[in-house]
Amino acid sequence: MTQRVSYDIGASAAVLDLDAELMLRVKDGDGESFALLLAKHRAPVMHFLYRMVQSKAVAEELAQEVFLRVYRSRSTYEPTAKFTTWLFRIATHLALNALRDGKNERLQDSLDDDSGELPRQVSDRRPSVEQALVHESKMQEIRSAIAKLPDKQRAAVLMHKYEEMEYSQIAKVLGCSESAVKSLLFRAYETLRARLAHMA
Amino acid sequence: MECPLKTREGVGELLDFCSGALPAGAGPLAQHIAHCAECREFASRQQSVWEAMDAWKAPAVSADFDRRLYSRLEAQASWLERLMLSVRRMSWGRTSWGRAIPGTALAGVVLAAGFLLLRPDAPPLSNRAGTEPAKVESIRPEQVEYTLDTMDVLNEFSRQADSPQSKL
Repeated sequence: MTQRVSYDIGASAAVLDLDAELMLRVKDGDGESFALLLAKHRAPVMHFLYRMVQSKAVAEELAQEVFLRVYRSRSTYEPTAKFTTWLFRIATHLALNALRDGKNERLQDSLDDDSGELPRQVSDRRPSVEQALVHESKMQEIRSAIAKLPDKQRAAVLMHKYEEMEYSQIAKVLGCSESAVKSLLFRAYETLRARLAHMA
Repeated sequence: MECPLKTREGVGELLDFCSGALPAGAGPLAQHIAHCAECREFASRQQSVWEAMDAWKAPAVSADFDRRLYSRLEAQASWLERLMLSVRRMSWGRTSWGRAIPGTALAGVVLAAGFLLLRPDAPPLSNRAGTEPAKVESIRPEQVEYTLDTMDVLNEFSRQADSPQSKL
């Protein structure tokens, strides 16, 4: 359930989501509110960044940078949009920069280093070596298909599919119009449908 | 109804329909899909892509993520932030006297610094530490880059938020 609170901005009153209210408390120096925001958004931000750069180590480094920036920007924070829009805008900006700077050169290594993704089951229900290899091969194809998407398409797909963000929110994060987001998504999914068609 | 594959708006609706964000089996879109082979094909292949993507799980966040973050926050805090943090810890009581402490402490620091810098009989800054010349903390290029980068993100974000489109 999303809790909403009222907050006066000048003469008018605006309705904020709980996250924005917490961030305003952080702005006032409340460290506990920052801890709450961190606890709530740590995993989604990390997962988004991981899928963007496809390296756990790089994703964690970037996620740390996201929250550092959130904290360091607290004094200038204004609740003009949803907190998550702001958060993912910072995350996307950092991820795209990292990709441009070549941090994703570790990508190829990391594609072979995701042993944690194999299904973990107990005792006799553990998949056979063959099943595990088939699963890993499929995962590799999916990761590779997504990694080959142009940066903005990849970001849009990840926010749409995994973070379940609305078109308007994705548009604000990427700095484009809603219709441009729909176009990006259509092209991205079209590419993925073609690349992953044999898996259907 | 016009085929949704022919417009951007329609494609968005179709994607929502496929992801279950729109109620299935209801509305003109569902009726259209039932009769349009192209849309049925699109929906079926889109479903397959999403099922494949569902299998891709992201790894868990490291257990020491928060500890590392707080260490970095502390390391990056300026001396003034550390001072304010310490004073704030002391004044976490709800009394008005307690709330006044941070401001008073800051005012005290500013006054003391002003007195030390501006008193008429004070020697020139370069001579204060005996023969040692005054040291100015160097500005690291990555620090400037970081600050400009952050300002860039925030300015761009504010422009987006202020645009008429964002108020829709």
